[in-house]
Amino acid sequence: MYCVKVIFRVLLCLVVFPVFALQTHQKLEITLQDHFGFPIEGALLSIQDTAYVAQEQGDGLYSFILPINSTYTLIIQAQGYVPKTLDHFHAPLDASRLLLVLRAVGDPSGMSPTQDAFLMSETAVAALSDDAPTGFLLQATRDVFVASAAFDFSPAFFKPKGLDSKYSKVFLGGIEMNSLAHGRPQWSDWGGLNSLTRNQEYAHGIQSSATDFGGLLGTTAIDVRPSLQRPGLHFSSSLSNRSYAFREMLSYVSPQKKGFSYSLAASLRGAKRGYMQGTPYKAYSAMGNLEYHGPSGVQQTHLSVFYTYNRRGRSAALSPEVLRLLGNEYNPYWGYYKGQQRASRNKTLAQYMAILNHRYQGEDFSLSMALSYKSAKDHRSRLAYFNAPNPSPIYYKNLPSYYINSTIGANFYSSQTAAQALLNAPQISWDALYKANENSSSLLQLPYMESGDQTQEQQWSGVLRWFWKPSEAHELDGAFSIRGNPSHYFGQILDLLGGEGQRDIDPFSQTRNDLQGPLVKKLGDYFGYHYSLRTLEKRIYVQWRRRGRLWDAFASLTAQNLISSRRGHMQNERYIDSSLDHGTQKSFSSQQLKMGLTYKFNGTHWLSFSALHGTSAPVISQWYVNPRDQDLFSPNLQREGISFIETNYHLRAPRLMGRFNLFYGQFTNQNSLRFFFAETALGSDFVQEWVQGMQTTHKGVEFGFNYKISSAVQLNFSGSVGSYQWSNQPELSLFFDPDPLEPEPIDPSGRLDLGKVQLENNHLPQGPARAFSLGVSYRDPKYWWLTMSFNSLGLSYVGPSYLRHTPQFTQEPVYEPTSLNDLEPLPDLRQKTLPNVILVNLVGGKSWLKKGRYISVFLSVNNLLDTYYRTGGYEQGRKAFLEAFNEDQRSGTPSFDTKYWQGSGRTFFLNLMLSLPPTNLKKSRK
Amino acid sequence: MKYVNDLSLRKHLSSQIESFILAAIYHFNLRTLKCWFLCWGCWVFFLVSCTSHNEKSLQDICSNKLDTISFQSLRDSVQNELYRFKTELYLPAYVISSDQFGQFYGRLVLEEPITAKTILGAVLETDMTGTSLWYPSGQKVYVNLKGLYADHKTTGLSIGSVFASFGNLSIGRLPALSAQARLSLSCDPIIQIPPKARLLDKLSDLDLQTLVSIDSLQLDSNLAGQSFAVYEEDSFRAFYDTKGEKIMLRVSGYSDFRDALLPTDWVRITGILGKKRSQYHIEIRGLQDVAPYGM
Repeated sequence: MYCVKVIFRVLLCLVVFPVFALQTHQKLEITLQDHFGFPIEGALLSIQDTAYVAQEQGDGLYSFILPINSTYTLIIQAQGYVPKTLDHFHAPLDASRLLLVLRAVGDPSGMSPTQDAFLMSETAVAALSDDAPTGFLLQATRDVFVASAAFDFSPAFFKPKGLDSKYSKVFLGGIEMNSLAHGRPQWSDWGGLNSLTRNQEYAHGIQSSATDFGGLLGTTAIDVRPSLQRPGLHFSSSLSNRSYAFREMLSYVSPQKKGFSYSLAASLRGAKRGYMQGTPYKAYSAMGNLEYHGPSGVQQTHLSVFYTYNRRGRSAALSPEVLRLLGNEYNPYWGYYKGQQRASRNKTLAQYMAILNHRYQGEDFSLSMALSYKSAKDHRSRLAYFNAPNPSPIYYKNLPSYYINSTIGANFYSSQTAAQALLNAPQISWDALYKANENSSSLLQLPYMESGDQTQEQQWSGVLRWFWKPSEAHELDGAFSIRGNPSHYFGQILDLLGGEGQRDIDPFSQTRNDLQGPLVKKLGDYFGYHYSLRTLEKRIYVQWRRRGRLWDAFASLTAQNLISSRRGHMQNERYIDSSLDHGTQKSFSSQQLKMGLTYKFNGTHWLSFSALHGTSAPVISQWYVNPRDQDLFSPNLQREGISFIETNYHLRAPRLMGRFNLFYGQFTNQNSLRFFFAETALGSDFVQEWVQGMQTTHKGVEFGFNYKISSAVQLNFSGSVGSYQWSNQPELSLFFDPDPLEPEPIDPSGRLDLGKVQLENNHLPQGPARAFSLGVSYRDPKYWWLTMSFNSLGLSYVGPSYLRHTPQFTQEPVYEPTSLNDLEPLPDLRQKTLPNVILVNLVGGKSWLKKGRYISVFLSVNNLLDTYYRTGGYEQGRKAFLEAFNEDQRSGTPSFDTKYWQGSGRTFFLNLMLSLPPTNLKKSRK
Repeated sequence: MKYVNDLSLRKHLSSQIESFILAAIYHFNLRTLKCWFLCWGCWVFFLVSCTSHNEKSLQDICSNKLDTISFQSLRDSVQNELYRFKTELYLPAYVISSDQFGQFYGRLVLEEPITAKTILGAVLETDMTGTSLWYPSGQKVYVNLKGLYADHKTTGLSIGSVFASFGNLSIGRLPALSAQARLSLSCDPIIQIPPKARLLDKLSDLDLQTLVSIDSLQLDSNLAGQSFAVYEEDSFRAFYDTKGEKIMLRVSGYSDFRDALLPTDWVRITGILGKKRSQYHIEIRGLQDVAPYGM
């Protein structure tokens, strides 16, 4: 960059002056190259606030005819490269060529943390048992705030604007990757394929996107076409102590030859033990792309095929008692079997997908069609027990608190003994489980078994997109898409732990799960439940965009229709009439409107307003209260309502650039469905807790600024302060099996409506509502760089137990009433916050470039000071009436205390990357 | 080369490393590439296939321990007050109770090996549930007594943890994980424990917490038509022998067979002998312990 400026200024002095007085316009030629010296084609060079656009001459050469005697801002944009802006740019007085080098997106020799670095946030993901809430942020962007949110805030489970990741839409090859089941994009679907998925267009917030209507939180479009990737061989090897210990990635992108280009990638990731104990990790993936451009370049076809496999052990949220006894890295879900570590809760995700794209690319009009097929499985194993002791070492009866909270009086001796015994044997004893099964061979029911909760789905998608540019300023685009998603859900016997077979019955109610199948099931058989959902989504959107000198505007409209029905494949004894065969179909139609206006004061400041209003269908996982057992729709299921506005102020001064954002949003008809054992004033049972009609408000600010102290040193300051609260009192209902054997049955109908939940003004447990980051970056001219950031995160709330906020909580219990309820002190039910935390992150590296071969090394250290912090928590819902709650809390060490997830301590990530250009690609001459 | 100070040494080293890397890159050709891939392949192989060291050796499940103590010695140690074992001593015993059908909650009853002259018994008070899964009736075990408390009460010899009530210590239930750690399985096979045949008028406290069998018992006629136990209540049912001597049958209100009807014919009852105040009672493992006995 510095060299280029020197060349440019020298040229200016030597060449411009003599011809300055003679001409009014001058031709300026600019050659664009990448770091290897290869030409960049298809770039857009323009002069800000004017209509001057460069003509492409081919081979990376662009030319302007510009008036002389003026100062301009030159903007250079090329797909796959970081845009460049040259301020105070003078048209040279002589026809001359300038050489400009662009940096590729994801190039680690730059200032901002790289895509590789962002993927280290997988640790935060692995710490949670389910899909990544922030996975969509895994990309490098130009936005300082988004970069901080992805790299610095995400380990603390930060959620921008307090929004769930389902509000972010991700498209790969034009196909929507958000799952219909829970609405979220699953980052592991393309895990390990970083080198080919670097090409991402990201629109943050309510902005228009060239790809689709998009989501409230943002839209990511990943383009895997080989013609847009940097050709050559890329290799990356990483070492880490995060969720995986090593990662090897290899990819090759071919140059375009006779219209054909292709790319291949493969990767391997693994760890014997992840960051948490007992979370072994194994993942591999592969991808192939083939692209063909017709002779005229108008017809383009692209086929992409990829496979990803990911298997990892899971960990648990822990109560403070367990944390004190066993430490932050403790994980109860593993043990030893014949001397080897064996995890009891494994999650296996595997998918293969094929996408076929065909595009007709005209001058002002394009039409593209994408067809895809996906087959995916999500298998989760767990240890099941039947009329046998709970095998978890931290079952509440094994903890010291059990003896402190004993109803017959606290026993401190036994409490101490229990603590010592737990320290001596803190993990699952698999050998003991096999022994128990061996001793029970004569019984009809094995005490222990490894079972799986499996999901197998297929997805057929088709998208037809069109794009039309009727004039310079206006663009119209739209699409019609259809997604069919038949999916199977079933329990399965994974390992009988030495046994021969298992009776397929519900151990609590002693009822059969499969009346039409055999009573005794063998290894690999369906077990417990088996049903399928057939879902069809049809969507259409249309968008208008206007770009002008002073103002831009856009308006988009989308409509969606979602249909789903359940089909049971097992008839169970508990719901004989509603468990088997086709159930009722349900359908939701929803619409959304999005609009925005941007006013550009000048090239330095501009202001934008945008708004989104509409409805969206509830995610399929909330349609049914208990789909494993019966075809029963969640009551009062309605479309979610969304109203959101935001305003952005953008600044791009020579030294200072950034964005300031104010947002306000309201959601209506949100729902929650949870499963646990509850002891209510009206009885105890294993329940499905359904809360519907929740209304929430999200308001706050987010900002990110970058100040160039010098050409080598930069300062970043970004943050977000928000308030995310419930703003009404939703309705709560409990559903359960009306089991005649249950000693304290709740209601014979199997349903109990508990009225309103006093949640108003409670805060949503959506990560830190206050986050600040101050970073310093240094980039040395000798291609080494260092970035250090200081991050402060706070105002993170614990998820409340809804049952404690219902009227029945203070009611006299129906079973064993004591008439002393009035004397029970009301507990402090105010929502707890997690402690504030300051995290220091450091990343630095160096790169070398020799004869087109590129090597880079970087080391990233997160949480440099090894600070202990909690990332989230939830109140256990078991003690759901006053007497039971107070009794449990009285000792100060409750048996059913709030559980917390822990943040990682000091972690590192060391990466070596090697890039080799293809041997037959010619370098352009200067 | 002589180095003036650390700084120059570091500078020299870093420039050496940099030169090495640049030289390696400069000389990069296909052969070097193959070599690099071979090294990388070895590195990946090493990472993937290297097995972790066992962080913990497999605990012997089956063993024959030394340093044993007999039931008589245990009884002698206790005498008349709570006693705590300070050394590592093992008590070899056979399990005679079973919670398979819901009886014996919170207890594991142990009997002396048959080789002993007078077979004594003791009860291990514990919070362990599902004891029949690991310690079924007839399984020989070794109980590590170190740190455990023992006492001799009306109900016989008992071992466990301790709890304090009004300043007095009594035997309390041993936490489940602690009990599992103290009970080592013997390598001897599971056997059918022969019960001691007893007559009601010959019962003594030496038989407490041992497996006994009593013939010719008939249910109290007033209890005809009743079930073995009332739900959630520890139930005692009177049985009489031919001489009119009484013994109570103890059944838990949580047992699986509580709703079964009591037998009105003459029966032989096998079970573990206990005592409440001055009345003996017998506690069965399951319905199989109540067998018809022809007169």
